[in-house]
Amino acid sequence: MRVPRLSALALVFILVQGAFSTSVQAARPAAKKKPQIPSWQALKLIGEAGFRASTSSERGLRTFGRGYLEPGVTWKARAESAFQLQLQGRGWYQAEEYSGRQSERWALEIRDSYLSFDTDSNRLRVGFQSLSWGETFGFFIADLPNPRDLSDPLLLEIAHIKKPVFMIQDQWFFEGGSVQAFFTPIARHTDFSVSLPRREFSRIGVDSEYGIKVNRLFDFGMDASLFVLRHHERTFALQPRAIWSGGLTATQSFGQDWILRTDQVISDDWQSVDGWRGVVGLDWTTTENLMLSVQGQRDPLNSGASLRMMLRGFEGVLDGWEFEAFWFQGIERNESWVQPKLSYHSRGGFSVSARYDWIESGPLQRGLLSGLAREDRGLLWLTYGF
Amino acid sequence: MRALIVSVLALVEVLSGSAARAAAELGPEEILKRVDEVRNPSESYRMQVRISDSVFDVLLEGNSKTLVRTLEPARDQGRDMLMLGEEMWAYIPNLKRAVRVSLSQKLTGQAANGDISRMRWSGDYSAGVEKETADSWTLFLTATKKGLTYEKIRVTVEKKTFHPIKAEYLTGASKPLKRATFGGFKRIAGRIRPTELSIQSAVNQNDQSKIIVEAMEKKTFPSSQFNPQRLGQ
Repeated sequence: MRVPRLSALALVFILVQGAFSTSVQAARPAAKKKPQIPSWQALKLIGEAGFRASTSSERGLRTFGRGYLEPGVTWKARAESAFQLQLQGRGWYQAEEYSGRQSERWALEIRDSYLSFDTDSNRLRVGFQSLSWGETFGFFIADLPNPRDLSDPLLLEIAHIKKPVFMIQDQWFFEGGSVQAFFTPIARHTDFSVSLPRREFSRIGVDSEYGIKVNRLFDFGMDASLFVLRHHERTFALQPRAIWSGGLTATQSFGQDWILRTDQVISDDWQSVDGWRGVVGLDWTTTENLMLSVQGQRDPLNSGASLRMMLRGFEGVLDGWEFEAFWFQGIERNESWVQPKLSYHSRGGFSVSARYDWIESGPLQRGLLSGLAREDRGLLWLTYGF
Repeated sequence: MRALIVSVLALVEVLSGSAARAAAELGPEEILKRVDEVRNPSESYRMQVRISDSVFDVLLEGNSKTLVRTLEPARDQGRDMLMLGEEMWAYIPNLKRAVRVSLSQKLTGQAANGDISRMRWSGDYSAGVEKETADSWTLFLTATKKGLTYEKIRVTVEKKTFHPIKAEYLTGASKPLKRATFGGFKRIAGRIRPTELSIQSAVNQNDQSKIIVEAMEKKTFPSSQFNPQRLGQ
């Protein structure tokens, strides 16, 4: 672990954060005595720092520290303007020690950055975007329009691994529903942990991706979407194939406590069961903000079941505390993934989260968790948003 | 001059007498509508609400569409909530998606989602006059639909102004859940309205929350404003 470098990193973070805080204070208008209903938020800047430590019983000890900043700006010329510009980036630096060797990595990335044109019934966005289509948790099988960054198998948070792509997206809203269409002129690859030569996408048309999703909220409470899209296989293949996928996502509440969720996706070979992936889940919530969820998953690599629990404190009772636990158990292959996470969020925007991962991918190592073998991880985040 | 004063006093007496008679002739459902008019400026409006250190921007249309944007604390900014009837969605900024959640989820402290999302009793409850004094009515409200935060409510209304004074929220078996008092009466959005609602648990009196309406304005919204797919904008 390169402690001096991490200290320098922390110092840079504090300085940058201080500069951002100052600029926000300067830009903020003088407080008015009479409370006003705000119509828009002028500026939002996010800073985040974190480090993780990981051990693997089979691969030896791996320790590392990572710091990253996520500045973002949302801008409108006027409060009622239909145009909005959002710019978001991410820069990170990582120092790592693995089997006695030290290494460094860093990157600057464009995150969701687009120009948006909003009217009462339509929203057009052009730029780097992430679309979320799924309704279930854990593996996000319906979120197909975006590739993912899987180059670091320890980074699993969907907010981190989903790669924004340059696309034109339009969404039309009507009473009780919407229609969304997107066009990605040139697709991007999913990044994998192994470095393989791949054909880079470059040709508009041949390498384009596009799709449409229709959503309807029915009177009896079902919120359902049907989608179809042309996209590239996000696999290790040297020559990724362009394929069609279609699917259904839906949620239905029962009373005040129960919610049924499902994501169903069929890809490429419509006749084969290997092209079908599906998740069905049931949530139960109490008035004390405890949520228990059970999911069943059908996947050609390994079907399985997962349990999820979330307890969120509220004023007077565990205020600011949040506990989550996720457990996936493979059925066809003996894969397990247990992930408890404890977080504390202060009212000022400071958060600390600790997570432990216990992963067992089984002897074949060809399932959903392939390549991870047996691993234990401890991760700790310190986050400050302002 | 003296004749003028006498005439004015006589007119005031006649008018107040007729108002009292009119009020006495009102049925419980009509009284409930008048109370709703005190609490709600129009069919569609917007208000800024403070509950302890949390501040919410609340957009309401009718009795079934509510969009709640969290302004404070900073940690919850972006976690917008949309309630359509008995259905509820919460926008999760990390996932960049609106997640269907259960209406059971607590807003903060003793305040339930229903305390700021369903501001009208009329239409949701049938009313009966349980008690009447010279100055007030006590109405007993019974839910006419499923999925409401409270199944029964006992509310005391001032006769002269139709101002709600206090309420008792009950279970289906008429067991007290919470007690609430209305206060902070002041001119807001065109008339005198209660701007403070103090809610206390009937089980533990130390569990209490105060809902303060800091600002209110009549406003109309496009229907797409209350579309789950538009959350997080």
